Amino acid sequence: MPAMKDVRFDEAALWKRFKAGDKAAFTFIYREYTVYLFQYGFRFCTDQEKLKDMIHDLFIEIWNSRDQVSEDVAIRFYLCRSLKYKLIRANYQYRSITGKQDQYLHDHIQPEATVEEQIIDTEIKDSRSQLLNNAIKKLSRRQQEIIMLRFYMGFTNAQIAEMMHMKYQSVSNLLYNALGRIKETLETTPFARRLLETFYSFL
Amino acid sequence: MKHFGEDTWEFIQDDHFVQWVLFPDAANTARWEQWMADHPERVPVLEKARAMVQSLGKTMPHQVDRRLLEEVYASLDEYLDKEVPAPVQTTARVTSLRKWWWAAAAVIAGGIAMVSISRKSATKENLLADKLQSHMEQQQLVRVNTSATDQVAWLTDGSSVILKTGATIKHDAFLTQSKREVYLKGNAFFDIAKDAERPFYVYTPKVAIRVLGTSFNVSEENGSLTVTVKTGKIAVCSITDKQHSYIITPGHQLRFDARTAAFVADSLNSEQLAALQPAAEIPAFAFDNAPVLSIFKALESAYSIKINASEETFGKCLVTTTIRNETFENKLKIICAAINASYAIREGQVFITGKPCN
Repeated sequence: MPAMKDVRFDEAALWKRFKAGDKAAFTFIYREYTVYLFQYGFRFCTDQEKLKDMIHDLFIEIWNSRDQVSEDVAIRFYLCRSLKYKLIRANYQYRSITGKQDQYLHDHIQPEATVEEQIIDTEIKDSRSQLLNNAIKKLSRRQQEIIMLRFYMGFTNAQIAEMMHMKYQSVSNLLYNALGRIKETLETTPFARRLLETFYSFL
Repeated sequence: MKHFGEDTWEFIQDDHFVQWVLFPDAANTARWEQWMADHPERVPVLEKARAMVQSLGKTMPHQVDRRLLEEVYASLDEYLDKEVPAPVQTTARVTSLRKWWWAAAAVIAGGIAMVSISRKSATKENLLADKLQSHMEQQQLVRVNTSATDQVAWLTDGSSVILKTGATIKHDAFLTQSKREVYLKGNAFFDIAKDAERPFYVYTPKVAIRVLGTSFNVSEENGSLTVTVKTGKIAVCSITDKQHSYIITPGHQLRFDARTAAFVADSLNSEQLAALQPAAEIPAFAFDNAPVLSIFKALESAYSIKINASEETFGKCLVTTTIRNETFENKLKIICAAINASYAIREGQVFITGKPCN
C-alpha cells in the first residue's frame, strides 16, 4: 500500500489560489502533476524532448489563461485532458504499448524498495507484473487506454467517458471486456497458472 | 470472452473505491474502514478488488526520468520569475487612446443618434441548424442568413460570426491566404481567433476593419455603419481613404455616416454594453453519444464545408464530446482521434477515412 499522505492538499483551494494568480500555488501544481502528464503523454508521443516542450507550453498556456479556466476543476483530469487535446492537435494519437516504449519504461523504472526487500520480492514481483504487463499488451489500444485512466490516473467513469469520447455505459463495457481479456490471457499462460495463487484477485 | 469475478466488479466500478485505493487520505480511509466494519462479510471481496486495482495500477510507469521533470520545473520557475506583473506600456496606450476618444466625442458632440443594438440570444438549436444558405462564387464561399433568427457561421481558423437576418459573408472557405479576409454585407457580430501572423480583415462596402483583438459588432442602418467593440481592439478605415484609421477599444463604437462620409465616435452606456453580451456566447459543439455522422453534418452546416464520410464505415460510430474554441481542423482531429479515423482536405472538401466501429 502506498504511503498515505496525512494531509492531502485541498485541490479546490489550490485551484482557487492559482486562478487568483498565486505563483506559489501554480508552482505546487506543476511540481505535483508534471509526472502524470509525462506518463500519460508518453502513450501518444515517444519523443521525450518534444513531450517535455509540450508539457512546458501547456503549463504556460494554463497560467496565462488562468482567469478563463473553470472554477471547479479536478486538476489531474483537467491537465491530462488538456494535454491530450494538445497532442491530438499536433497529430499525435494514443498508441498501444510497443517494444520501444517498453524499453523506455524499463530504462527508467527505479526500484523503490530497499535492496534486501528487493532480493526477497524480486522474483515473484517481477514475474507477476511482467505477466500482467504482457496481458495488457494484448489488449486493444482503447482497452489499454482505459486501464491506464482507471487504475493509474484514478479517473471516474464520467471523466473517462469525456476523455475517450464515449457514453457512460460504454465505459463500463470497455472496462469489463478489458479485464475479462486480461483474465483470459493469464489463464492461458502456463506459467501464470502456477502463479495464480498469489494472483488470486483475477480468479 | 472470459468473464472475471462478478463479485469484485461492483468495487472496480465504484469511483470512490478506486480513488481510495490509489489515493488514500484520512477522510476516504475513515469512510471505507467504517464501511468494512458495517459489512464484515464483504471484506474478503473488497480486499480482492483492492489487490486487483493496485496490481493494475503498478503495471503502469511509476517513474519518469528525473532529469525531464527537473527541466520542466526549472524552465517554468524561470518563466514565472521573469514575468512582469502588468504591462505598463499597454496602460499608457489605452490612456492616450482615451484622450483621442474624448477629443473626438467633444468635437462631434450633438446631433448623433445612437444606433440601438438589440439582439435576441440565439439558442443552441437554431445555431446548429442548417439555416445558412451557401454557395461558391469565384472560388469564394458565400454564406447568407435567410432565416428570421441570428445564425452562427464558423470559420476554419476558430473564429465565428453571428449573422443577423439577411447578412452575407464571403470568404475563402479555408482562409488559406496570408491575410484572413471576410467581405460582409449586413449586420454581424465577429469573434475572432487570435493569430498574430495572419491578420483578420472585414470589408464592408464602405469601410475596412483590421482586427487587432477579439470581438466586435458591425451593424448597418439607413446607410450608416456602426462598429462596436466588445473585447480587444480594432482599427477601422474608410475604403476610399486607407491612410487614416481609427482605433476602437472595448465599450466604444464608431459610426460611419454614408452621407457625410465622416466617422463619428461614441461610448456605450451600460445598457448597450449589456445588449452586446449575449452575442459573444457562442455555443460549444456538444454531443452526447451522438452518431459521428450527425456530428459531421453539424460541422458541415456550421462551416459550410462538405465532409465526406461513408455511411457504411462510420454509421455505427458514436461520440460524446464537447469542443470549444478549436479551429475546424482541430475539431476534425479530435473527432477523428475518437473514432480512430483520419481526414484529408482536397479541393475544398473534407474526406474521412478509417475502419468501422464495433
